[in-house]
Order: sequence, then C-alpha cells, then structure tokens
Amino acid sequence: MKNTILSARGLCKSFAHNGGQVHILSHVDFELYEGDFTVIMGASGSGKSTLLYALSGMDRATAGQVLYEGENLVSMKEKGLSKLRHTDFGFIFQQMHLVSNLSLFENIAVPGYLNKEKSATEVKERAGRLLEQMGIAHIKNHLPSQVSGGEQQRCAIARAVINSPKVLFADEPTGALNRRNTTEVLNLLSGLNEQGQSILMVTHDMRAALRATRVLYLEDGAIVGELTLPPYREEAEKSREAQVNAWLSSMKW
Amino acid sequence: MDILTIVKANIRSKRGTFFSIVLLMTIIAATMTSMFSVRDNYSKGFEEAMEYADYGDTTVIMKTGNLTEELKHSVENSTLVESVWYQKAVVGGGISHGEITDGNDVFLLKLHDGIRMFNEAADGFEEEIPALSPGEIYLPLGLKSDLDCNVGAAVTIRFGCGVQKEFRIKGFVQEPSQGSSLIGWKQAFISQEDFEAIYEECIPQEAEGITVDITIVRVHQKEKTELSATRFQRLLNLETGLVSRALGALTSDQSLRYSTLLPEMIIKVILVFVVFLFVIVLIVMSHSIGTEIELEYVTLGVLKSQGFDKNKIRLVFLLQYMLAELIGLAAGSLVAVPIEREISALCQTMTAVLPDRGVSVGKWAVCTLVLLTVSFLMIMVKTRKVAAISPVRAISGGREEIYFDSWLQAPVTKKGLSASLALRQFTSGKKRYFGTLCIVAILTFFMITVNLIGNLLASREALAAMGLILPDLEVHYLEKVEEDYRPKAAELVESYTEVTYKNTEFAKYVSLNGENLLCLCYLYPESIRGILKGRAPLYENELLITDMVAEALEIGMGDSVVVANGDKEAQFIVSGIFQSGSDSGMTFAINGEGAELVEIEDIQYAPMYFVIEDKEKKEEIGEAVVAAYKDILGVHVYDNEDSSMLGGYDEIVHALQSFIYTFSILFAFVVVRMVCTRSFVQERRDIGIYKAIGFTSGKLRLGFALRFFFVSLVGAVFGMGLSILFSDDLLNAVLSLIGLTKVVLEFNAMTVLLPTAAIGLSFFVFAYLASSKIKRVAVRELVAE
Repeated sequence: MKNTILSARGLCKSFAHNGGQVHILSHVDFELYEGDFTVIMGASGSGKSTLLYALSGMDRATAGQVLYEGENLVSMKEKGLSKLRHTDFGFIFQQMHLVSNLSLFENIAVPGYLNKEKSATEVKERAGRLLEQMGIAHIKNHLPSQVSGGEQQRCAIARAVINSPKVLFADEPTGALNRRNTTEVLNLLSGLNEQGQSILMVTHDMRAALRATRVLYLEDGAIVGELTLPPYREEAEKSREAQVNAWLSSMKW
Repeated sequence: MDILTIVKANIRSKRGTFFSIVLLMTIIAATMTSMFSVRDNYSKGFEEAMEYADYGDTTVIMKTGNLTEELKHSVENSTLVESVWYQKAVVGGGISHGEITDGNDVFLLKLHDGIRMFNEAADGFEEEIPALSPGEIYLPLGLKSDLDCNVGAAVTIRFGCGVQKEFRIKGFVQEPSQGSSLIGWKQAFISQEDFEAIYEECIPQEAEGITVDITIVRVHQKEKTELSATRFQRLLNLETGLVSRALGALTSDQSLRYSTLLPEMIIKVILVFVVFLFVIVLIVMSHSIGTEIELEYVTLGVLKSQGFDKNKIRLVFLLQYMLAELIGLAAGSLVAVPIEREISALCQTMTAVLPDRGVSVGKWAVCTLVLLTVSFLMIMVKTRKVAAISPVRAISGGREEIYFDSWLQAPVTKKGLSASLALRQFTSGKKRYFGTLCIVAILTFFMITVNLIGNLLASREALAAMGLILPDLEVHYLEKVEEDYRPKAAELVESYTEVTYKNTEFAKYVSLNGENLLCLCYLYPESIRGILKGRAPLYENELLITDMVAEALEIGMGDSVVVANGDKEAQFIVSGIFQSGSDSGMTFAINGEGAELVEIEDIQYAPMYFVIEDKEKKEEIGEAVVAAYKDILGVHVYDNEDSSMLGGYDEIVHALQSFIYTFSILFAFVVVRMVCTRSFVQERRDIGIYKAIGFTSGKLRLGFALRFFFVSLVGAVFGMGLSILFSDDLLNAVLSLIGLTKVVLEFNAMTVLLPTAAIGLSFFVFAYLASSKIKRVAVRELVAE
C-alpha cells in the first residue's frame, strides 16, 4: 500500500472570458503517492499545466481542495505557500527560468539559503554535490546566458532539489531541449526517483512518459485514464514504449 | 495621423512616465520663471522708487558744518552734475522697540515730497501720505522686520546729546536709498515741530564733538555723461572732494546691490540648483527612452515591418516627450505667477521697496527655448538606437538580452540574503543604475553644499578664518579720557583665560582713490584675519584691500593709492588682499598709525573686541572689567548663540536648506517611481522566479527597496566627491555677494550624513512603495502554454 503524499478533491479552475466562464479543470480528484514518478499527459489545452500549478500551490484553484500534510493549499496564505516552495516542494519549468544575473551555483544555492534549517555551509556543500551530480560543476560560476539550454535545465533541476523536497514538480522539463539534452535530463530525473524522490511531471513527450511509474491522461480538464508501470529500466524501454503507446492510443492521443 | 495615434496610445499606456516628466518640468519652469521674475521685479521696483523719490545717482551724508558754500558751489557747478538738493537731518544713535534695538544711526528728516506710504498689506501705496503730528514717525519698511513692530507701536530713539524721544509709528514708507534691512543707516521722517525741538535741544552738544546736524546731499548726474552711479560718484569726488569730506555716501547702484543682496543670494543658489534639476530630468528622460526601446523592441519591430521608418518612430518619441515638457513648462509658468508674488512679498521686508509685478516674459521665453532645444537634442541622440531594430528579429520575439556585467560582483550570502541579492542586482547592472547614481550625486551635492553654507555661518572659527570675527566681549569707553585703558583691560581679560583674538576696530567712510569706501582701522593689525594674499598692514602707510575693491578700483598688491579723510590725504601701499563681510566686501583696512595719518581720530576711543577660549567666563570677566574701570570702561558680553551679527543670513540659509531638501526629496520620489516602474517591467520574470523558489512578496519588496537604497548610498558618495571638488567654487560665487571670496569649508559628520540619510531613506521608502506591484506578480506567469 503506497502512502499518499499529495491529493486533490473536486479541483476546479475556471476563467472569466467574454462574459462567460471557461472551465479548465473540472472536479479533478487526484492522489500522488510517495516515491512515485507520476506523469500527466494530454492534448494541448487539456489543462495539464493548470493542474500541475494548482497541485503545487503555484496557482490557486477556483474550487476544491489540494491537501498536503493535512493543509489545504487552496486556502493557504502566501507566506505558507512560500515556505512550502523552499522546503517541501521543488519546481522545474519548461523554460528553465534561472535568475539571469546569478551564476549557476548561486541559482542553486539561493533557495537553500531561504531554508532556515540549513546552515550556509550545508547549503554550499549540497549545491556543490548537486553541481557534480548534474555534471555542471565546471561551469558553476557561469551566468545562465553563458551556458547551453541543457545545462540550464540541469541547473534548474539542481535548484529544485536543493532543499530535498518531498515532491518535485516538473512542467515539460524537456520541452525546450534537443534530443541529447532531453535524454540527459530524463536520466537525472529517473536517478532522483530511484533515490526515492516523488515526482509529478507534465509532458507530451513520449520519451519522458516512459520514465513514469504511473501515467495519467487528462482530457477537457478531467482525468480520464491511468496506467501503472514498473520502475524504469533502460533495457526494457522498447516493450515499455509499446505498452504506453498502446495505452495512449486507447486514450485517442 | 498614424503618428498621432501611436503617440496618443503611448501616452495612455505610459501615463506614469508622462506625468512624471510634466511634474518635473512644472517644478523647473515654476522655479526658474519665478526666480527671474523676482529678480527683475525688484530691479524695476527699485528703479521706479528711486525715480519717484528723485534721489539721484548718489546720496552723500555730510556734517552740515563741513558743507561749506565753496564745496556746494563746486558741486553745483561741476560739469558732471545736473542738479543737487539738500535736506537737513538730525542724527539719532539707535532706535528701539520694546526689547529690540537697532543700534545703527538713524537720520531724522522732515517729511518731504517723493515719499510714499505703504498700505496695510504693504502690497501697494496709500494715495496720499498724511502729515505728521508731533510724536509721530514714519519708518522705512526695512525696520518693520528688524524691530518687529507695526503701525501704532511706540519706538524710542536715543540721540548723542543724551536726549531720548518716543514716537508712535504712523506708517511705513518706501525709502529706496537706505530703507533695506541690510543697510545700516536709516532715514525716518518726523514732524517739523519734533525736528526743530530735537535740533534745538541737541545742537549745543556739537561743540563737544557729537554729530547732530547733518545734511543729506542728493546729486544727479547730467544725462549726457552716461556714467554708472559708482563711477559718477568717484569722478565727482575727485573733482570736488565732496565724498571725502562726508560721513558717508551711497550710490544708487550700491543701494540696489545692498537692498537686493539677500534675494540675489537665494536666487543665485536656486537657479544653479534648477539647472541641475533639468540635468536630472534629461537623465530621467534618457533612461526612460533607453528602457522603452529595450522593452518595446517587439512593438517597434512590428511598426517597422508595417512601414514605419526610423524617422517616424523617432518622431513618435520626440512628440511624446516634448509634449510632456511643453505641458510642464506651460503649467510651471502659470504656477510661477503666485510663487513670484509670495517670494517677492517675503523679500520685501529685506528690500523695503515695492517690487514690480508679473512674469519676465523675455527671460521666460529664452529659458524655455533653451530647455526645449537641449531636450530635443538629447531625444534625437538617444533614439539613434531605433535604427538598429530589426523587424525580423523583433517579430520572432527576439529582443536583446539584458546585459549583465561580471565586474565587481557582490556575493550572495545566506546571512542578509535580501540585502546581498539587492547588492547583486545593483552590481550586476551597474550601467542601468548609472543615471540614478548621477541624479543622487547631484541632489546630494546640493544638499551637502547648502549644509556647508549653514556650517559656515554657524561656525565662529570658520567665519573668523574668513575675517568675520564674532566677539565674546566688547570693552568700550564710557567717556573720553586721556589715558588708554584698553591694554589694561586686555591684560585683565588675559588673566582669566586665553584670548584667541583681540583687536580694536573702528570703521569710517573715507575715500580710496576717490571712491567712498568703508575703512576698517585696527590697532593690532597682526590680528587681522582673512588675509588671502600678502600680509597685514604693519606699517603706517600700508593697507589691505578686498578682491572686490581690487576689481572695482583696478588696483592690486604693491600699488600706491590715496586715502582721503576730508581734507587730509595720504599715500598708502597695498600690502595684501583680505576678505571681509563689512559693507559686503567693499572695504579696506589700515592700522592705527595709518588712521592717525589721515586723522581718523576716533580710533583712540574705539571699542576693543575679544574672543576668549573659556566662554563660560564671559560674564565673570565682564563684571571684573566693569569693577576695575568703573565709569571709564563699559563691557558688552555677546551671546555665543546670537547670530544677529550675521544679519538675516541664517534665515536665508534655512530657507535655502528647506527648498533644496524639499525639492531633492520630491525629485527622488519622481525619479524612484519612474526608475522602479521600468525596473519592475524589466524584472517581472525574475520576480516570478524568486516567488517560485519560495521568496515572499514582502522579502522581494524589501530587496527592491534595499537595492535602491544601495544605489542612493553609492550616489551619495559620488555627491560627496562632487562636494569636495566643487562646493567651494559654488559657495565662493554665492558668498562673494557678501564679500567672502574665499570660503573655508567645514565638513563634519552631520554635513554629509544628513543628506545621505535623507536621500537614502527617501529612496528606500519610495522604492518600497513603488514595489507594491510585486504582490501582483503570479508564478503562473512563468508558464509557457
């Protein structure tokens, strides 16, 4: 029996548009299990990113609940959400979004500095280890504009995990990368998952979906399908791909 | 039409910037126009007053006994002179209202034509001036503020003959020659009955050397001579010796100069400040245009792709910013009208003449044209970048990356994270803050400079170094005696405490190369302070002159000059240049033997002044001197805090400080608002990132405010540098008006810390307020759909 680390109940998100309401999410119920690598897929405009942002507390749902450790993120104050972001949650963006005037090392270390439970030395040591792990230690003093997109994304991953978050959210982390960088980033995420990191990722990239242990399919703001997979192994990728493809076809993807 | 549509749209979308420039230009135009107008209106008002009073080019105050028929004849028949008129007066030795006393001589005249009485509000004249009854007096307006008195109040005048009379003020009159609060002598008007009674009572005392009966001589030059009043007086004196025989003389030029001295000081400083405020506006506009091109790269590229060439786009910028300037200039010119009235009214108590009204249209037009031309050139230079915008790149969303330099990067630390990030934002984008740094430097420079003026006038040491001695004790004779008791008194004073300055100073108007000037006679010339070049007049035939006298008379060190006191003339050599605030710098100094050479005998009974080390002992020493030389010597103990010797200068400095601090803070507000708004737009994405990694809005706002605080601190350091380099030049230019040509600057912690704190705090608070938009930035904005 897996432990639920994050859940949503009746989650809705709608926008006012031309005098009416556009519903992006409609009464979504969701569970994220500890240690899982969950991927949300769906067509463009299906509400994947909206769901991810609502679950991570980056955006507020219009109705429903997002429960994390007994707290409802929908009604949580900004201060509480900010604390979650530098303690329990990590977030990776499609466009990396590194602070342009901070070096790679500083981009990773700054969220660590916000965490009151860790000393500056601990943060620096962990940032150093993450730089090594991500393979970007040799360019740690470079500014984001001086490194490649893949290196930027690896830096963004390191930044997201600097505080050892309980949940790592990723919004199309390979969307802006070439094939080689995509593989590198996915390997890193798989590696983190193997170490026990819970990951919730939105993607429309088949290769990214293959890394999941659980795939959810979203359509018109509602979860319409779920596929459970064994932990990822490179040698079993082909058979895994066929399985996921078949399932996605059944979802009319 | 297409251009106007875009201009209108730009103004709508950038209302903040537009109205900020309007506001800044309104301040500049209002200040500049009102200052020029005040200056012109006082000149016109003074000329009109002199014409109405028919005072002529020079007013000479003569002991009636010295005004011989022969002298009168030579003056009246001079080829330079058109007309002369004489009026008898009696000399009063001081005028008091309650506890307040003006110790200067007051000349009491019978009321005559050409005198106008101010109405109650002093903003116009009564149609007629009522005749005076016995016991009534008309005072010049300058005494109203000096004595803090009003119509109906009783004033007391002491006369040298021992008589003391009380008068009731019937009104205040315009007296352009000596009415200003800055001119020592005063003319007042009394009834014929009172005049004759005082005359009869006092005239017998003249035999004992007390001046009672004087004649005021007004001389008009012939129109065709076309000489300045000063030159006319000099030539007339060389021809007739009139001024050399006088108690004193004042040309119409000098009256105007002394009357408008204080307004002129304020106007000079403020006009220089306004010029720099305009430089600030140019920096702000330049920054605004630069960031607008950067932020609107895509829009401008799209416009280019739609057929707008670079010239049309530049025209859009030009119209947008010039329109803001024009509106500001127009609004400022309107606001200048009431401001001019208020300032003129404030200055009227000092100048004592009714100023003309209205705006100086000619100067306004020239200044407006200059401001617009400079702005036009700046906009044209700044919009050159438009030519480099590529439509293809812009349409593909490829705006240029903001450049961050890596030189001198501040480290980011856990301890004081907000502050270290703020410092990093500043150090990594130094170029972006260059304009703001310049603005802060200029504002701080002025704030420090105006503090330096305050320090200067508050510091006895600084003033002494410039020749302005503020004594602690004055020992004077109560009666004329054979023996000189002053050295004995000095010994007594020295037995109590160290004496840092002692001198016997006597001032008398005499002629120097024909020019009527205040001659300062010192018994201890080696103690003369404020010597800039050469040395003190140690020998009887040596004298010191000021830079102003050197320039006016075209003489210098080593030159031979003639000093004449009445009929007594002697040749002197200029031994040095000094500075003195006496007569606003139009003065020279000789020693006691030199005074004897030209028979300035009064120095034998002149008071001796002391500056002592132990100020606590002033009263005790005073009492000891009085006890030791009872009935012979009197003592006046000066209050250390008493700035009365500085006239109204301290008030002027306070007014200047208020003006410069207020406008600096106002400019800081507008500048911070504009720069912060632009920075906020540029950094919106980074703000979202910081929020996504756990920063609260409050923390980000604190960082934003701290960044501008750091910028202001660095700017303030540059301001200090500017102050060290240029404050003395600015102060020399301003204080030369009151005779101080070489200022001694006294920097202290408060001089520097107060402006730094004021500007730093303003930047911090205004940036914090301007950053409230951070609250509205949602992390959701980072999502790429």
